[in-house]
Parts: sequence; C-alpha cells; structure tokens
Amino acid sequence: MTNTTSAAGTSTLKPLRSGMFVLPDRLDAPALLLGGRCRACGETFFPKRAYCAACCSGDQDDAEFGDSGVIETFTVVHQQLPGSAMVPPYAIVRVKLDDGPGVQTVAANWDPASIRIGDRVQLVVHKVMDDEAGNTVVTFMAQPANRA
Amino acid sequence: MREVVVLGAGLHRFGRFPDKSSQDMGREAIKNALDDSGVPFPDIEVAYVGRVLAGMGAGLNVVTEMGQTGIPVINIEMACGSSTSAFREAYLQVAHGTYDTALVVGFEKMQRGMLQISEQASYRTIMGLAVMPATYALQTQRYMAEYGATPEMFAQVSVKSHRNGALNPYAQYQKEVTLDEVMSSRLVAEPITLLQCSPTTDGASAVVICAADKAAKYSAKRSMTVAGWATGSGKFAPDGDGDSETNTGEVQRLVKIAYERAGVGPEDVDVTQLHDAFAPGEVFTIEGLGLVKKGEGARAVWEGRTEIGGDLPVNTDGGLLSRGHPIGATGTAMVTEIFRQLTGEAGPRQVKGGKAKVGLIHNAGIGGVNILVFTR
Repeated sequence: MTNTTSAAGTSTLKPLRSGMFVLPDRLDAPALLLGGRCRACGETFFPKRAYCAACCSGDQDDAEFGDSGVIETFTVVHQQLPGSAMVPPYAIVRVKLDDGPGVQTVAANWDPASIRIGDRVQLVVHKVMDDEAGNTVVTFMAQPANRA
Repeated sequence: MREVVVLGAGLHRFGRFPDKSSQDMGREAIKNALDDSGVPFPDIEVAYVGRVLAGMGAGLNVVTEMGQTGIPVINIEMACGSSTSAFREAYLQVAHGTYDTALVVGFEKMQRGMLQISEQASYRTIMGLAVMPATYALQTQRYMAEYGATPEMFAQVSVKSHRNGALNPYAQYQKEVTLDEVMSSRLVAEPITLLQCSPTTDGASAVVICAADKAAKYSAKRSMTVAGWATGSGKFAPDGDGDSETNTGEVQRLVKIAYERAGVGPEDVDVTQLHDAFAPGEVFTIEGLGLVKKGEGARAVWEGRTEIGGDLPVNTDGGLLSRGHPIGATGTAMVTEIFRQLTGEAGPRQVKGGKAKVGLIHNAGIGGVNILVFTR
C-alpha cells in the first residue's frame, strides 16, 4: 500500500460509503466510526442497526467510537478479489475497538508481514481509490498505534 | 412424528462437465437414487431440490426429466447448505405424515474462480474484505496463536481428504497429494494455500426417503433412520462473527439439539461428514461437534484420528476439498456417503469394519448451519 498524503492535492475526500465515519479534512486523520448502541441492552454495533441483534429492541442510539483498538486476528490476502480496489498482498484485520464492537478492515501504512495478534492499532481515514470525477475515495483502515 | 428412513442414494460424478446440463446430471443422480432404493418414480409424492445459481424454478426442469407426474417440486436455497435444507424439509413432511415418500435432489453448475457473494458492489468488496477463504484464515490465525497449532496441521486435512477422494469414483479429484504439495501451493489467505480450498464443481446428488412403516414394499433391503436434526441461522454472539460459517459456538448450540433429538452423544458418532470448504473447517468443526475438546482439533487431525482408519473418521468420500463442492449438491452428497457407510457399502472407504451405527452431518452456508444425525 502506498501513502497517498502527498497525492491528495486539491481533490476532495469522498467517503466510500456515507455515514460510516466522521469525514476529516485530510488523509490519515483519526477515523471515528459511526455506529449504534442499544438503549435496552447496551450492545454496540458497527454499522448502526435499526433493531438490536442481541435483544431485538428498536430503541437504538447513534454512537461514535474512538479510533483505538487491538488486533484480535488478521490474515494476509494473496489473491485479487474481483471488484476490489485492494491489490494483494494486503492484510485483513479484525480490530476490537476499546470503546466499541469488533470491526473488520484492512491495514494501512503497515508491512503485512510485521502484523501480530495483540498489536495496538489506530483507525485512520485512508485512500482506497480515485473515482471517475477525480475525488479521493477514502475509508477507515487500521495502522499501528503511535505511528506518528 | 413417524420414523423416516433413507432407502437409497445416488450421485452424478462431481467434476467439471461443461458439455452437460443440470438436467443431464440431475437425471443420472435421480435414476441412481431411485434404482438404489427400489422406489419407482411414480411412487414419489414430493420432491425437494437444493440449488443456488441456476435460474428461477430450475428444480422443476430437473425433476420432471423423470416424468410429469404432477408432484410438488419445492426449490430450496441456503447457499452451500441448500440440499441439507431440502433434506430436512422433506424429512419433516414425511415425519408429519403429509407424504409417505420424498425425493431430495441437489445440483449445481458453478462458475470458475472465487465464489461471489451477493454484496458485490458493497464497501466490503471494494475494501477487499468479502473474501471467503479469509473468513477461515482469520479464525485459523487466532487458533494457532491460542493453541500453538502449526500451518502443517491444517494442511494435513487436505492430505487426508485427497487420500479419501482417491478411493471415491464420484470425486472430482481422485489423486493423493503430499503435505509438501499442499504447503507449497500458492498462498490464498495466510496460512491457507490453494490446495486447502474447495474447488469449483459441477455435480448432482439425490436421496430417496420413506416413512419407515411403508418401506417394506420396496426392494431396498437396507436403510438408515433419520434420527436427529437441528438448523439455525447464526445466533448473535457478542465476541463472534455471529453469522459466519466458521462460527464454532453456533455449531455447538445446534449439535446439542440434534444429539438430544437422536438420543445419542458425540461419543456415539462413528462417522462424520462436515463442511470443509477450506481445510481449517475440519479442525474447527470437530471441536464444535464435540468430537474432540476445544483446542484439540488440529492435533487430532495431525495424529490421524480423522482418517478412515482413525477413531473419528471425517469426510471419508474426500469432503468438499476433494470430492468437490457444487454448492447445491453438496448436502445430499454428504447424506449419500453416510448412507454408504452405515449400510456397509462404502467399499475401500468403509469405516469400522462395516459396523458403524451413528453418522453425523454438518453442512453450512450463508444463511445457516444444518446438522443431521442418522442411525442404523
């Protein structure tokens, strides 16, 4: 994966899917995920659900989760997935957020060979591709904590 | 509920058959199952068909190849678990007395390459997350860290399955592979290599079931009893991928129900067919099914316990890895192999000297897990 900060230029950051994270004004800024918290049982979800998967309550609050967590597990993918912007080899990681649910994402700014279970991570907003209008399409990815 | 028995089973060979249609393959599997059971097609009262990728109502076009008797033909879809779902629905209707005889069919003609699940344009696809082998790989990496298992232990599943497939004339791959060949095939999602992935396959399978008290009039002189079943769609678990097909907790929840219905326990199981879409699936699932303790699955495989001659034989026909995985046809092929094993007709693949009494099936797909227990 390449660091695309310098390539951002004057293009606009566009979220891969709206409503998943707080859109920052620069690349590699902390990614604050937008999910849900059940008012009945307290379970947290990403993305937000209309009804709680655990207790089925429809009483769901918006929740914003912090950017820190820990690697629960990971794998390095060596085969191109059709339709994906990710070029192998890349790492899929499952991150348990410190104040939220487990989420799956890909690693950024990280040599896949050096990832270990238990590593502390920070979620950042990273470039995934350019769209046809020249916008920089971004999504949340995991980089090693304390990288900066 | 009435006792229900399997009277016969049959397959069309699994493999790649670009010149054959679903009807061609289905007709052969159905004929083999009918001949095996002694039940003539006009006696079949209902057909349940598991299939995924074929078009609308495709099951009708296959079943009516045998004749237009006007019976209901029910199409069932649960991805890779479609035809065990079809089997369960057929079983319940016969058990409840709606019908005396039922035909269960599974068939599939697959595209080459990685299975595309139906969220293709989603953010998960663009981010490279919707990778089936990665689901298994994530759990494998965690398992290795927790229990000190090695990649070779998971690769050994594929060595074992190919050895069994070499004994099965209906298998897609009838050739043994060495541990070194499995380990050195190209990486797909670490530590899973290509030879630890089930192939894309065409094939068809069929089973005939009958109310036990109506079976005597047919020429099949042996049968096995449907003893227990359970099915579910992935109950939420706070720390798990609730709906993942590698979810061991869901397997544990469901197999307990199936064992209770059958009046058996894991210690009674003589032979098992389980869902090894990727090799590590065997390790996780023998633990989920209670055949070994949690954390002991990889070592059990490594020590040969799941071989045909072992105390816990698994996927004696080669499993998804070697017999092949034509997704709609896989479930009834599992039932076919358990039938061969419990009736003592498995030939060179026969376990326990033909004295196997209890057979167990685990078949998973997007949408859930099916467990079936059979007794002789």
